[in-house]
Amino acid sequence: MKTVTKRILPVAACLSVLVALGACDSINSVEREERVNQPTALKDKRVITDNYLKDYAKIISVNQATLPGDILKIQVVLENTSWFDQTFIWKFEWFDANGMIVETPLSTWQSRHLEAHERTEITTVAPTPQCKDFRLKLQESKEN
Amino acid sequence: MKNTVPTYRLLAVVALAGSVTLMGACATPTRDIDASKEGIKRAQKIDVQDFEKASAEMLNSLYTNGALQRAARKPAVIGINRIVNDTGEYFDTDLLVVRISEQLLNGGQAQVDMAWGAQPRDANSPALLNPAVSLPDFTLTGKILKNTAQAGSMKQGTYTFQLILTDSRTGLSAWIAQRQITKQGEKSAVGL
Repeated sequence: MKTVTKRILPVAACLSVLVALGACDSINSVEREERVNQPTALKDKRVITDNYLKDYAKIISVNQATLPGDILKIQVVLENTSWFDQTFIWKFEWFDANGMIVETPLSTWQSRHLEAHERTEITTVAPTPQCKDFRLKLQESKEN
Repeated sequence: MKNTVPTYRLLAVVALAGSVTLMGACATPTRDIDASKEGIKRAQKIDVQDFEKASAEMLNSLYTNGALQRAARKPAVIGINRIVNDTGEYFDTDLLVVRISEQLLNGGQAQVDMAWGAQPRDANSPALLNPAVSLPDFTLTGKILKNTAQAGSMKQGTYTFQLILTDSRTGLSAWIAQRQITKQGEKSAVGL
């Protein structure tokens, strides 16, 4: 009896893992092979304190553009490189030329859900033309 | 003969005191929070976080559109017209309008006339004597709508925020934005 149980348990465990993996939604996508757009990529500095978050909200690139009125627009490309759908929260902070933080309604925590291996973009605009520096904060959501 | 307290009574008193101490330690004390991150979320009610998210996304869209930069005057003058609450819930639409106006004004992108269209002006006011000066470059109107759905115990609420910026001189829309926030859940939750 014990032998049977010993054999069944690993099989059941493997099956449950497979079922769990199969239950995760992922995204298929297609796009132009050679992109026409040429985004202006920024050199960035990253501070990683949560390695788990780093996997499912992996920063691929940081792009910038200038809008009418000399307002900076930032787009951060993120990808969920894990096998599970996940939710994270994000918030941009803006700084003036003196390095002082600029309080703005544009700086608010927002959540984003990503399916397994899904890529997404989060964008924001500077609150004033004087804001040239920013910081993006990412954190694990309590929904996970 | 010694007059001692029985051990079981002593134990009971100690256990009671310990429980009271633990209960006091477990109670959540009142604290200041960042509502956009830790506020209570309700599936079929609009929350402060919804206004914060909607206003941030609306501003993002307005800045990207660049309509304010096309105005003859710099900074452009925006007259805030009616923002209709069509949800059936009671809340002040200023939760959305003031956040947007705050950013536009403090960011130097626009001057805001919060009372535009709200009440008739004095016939002798300088504004009416010289309409060319007083007429705002744009007027802002909007509406907030609500749709609900329920499947079993799962509740869902969708709030639709619509804003329209109209060029006062041509009467044409300069910018239109619609954002939907859909929330789903069986019960209220804390935090994003």
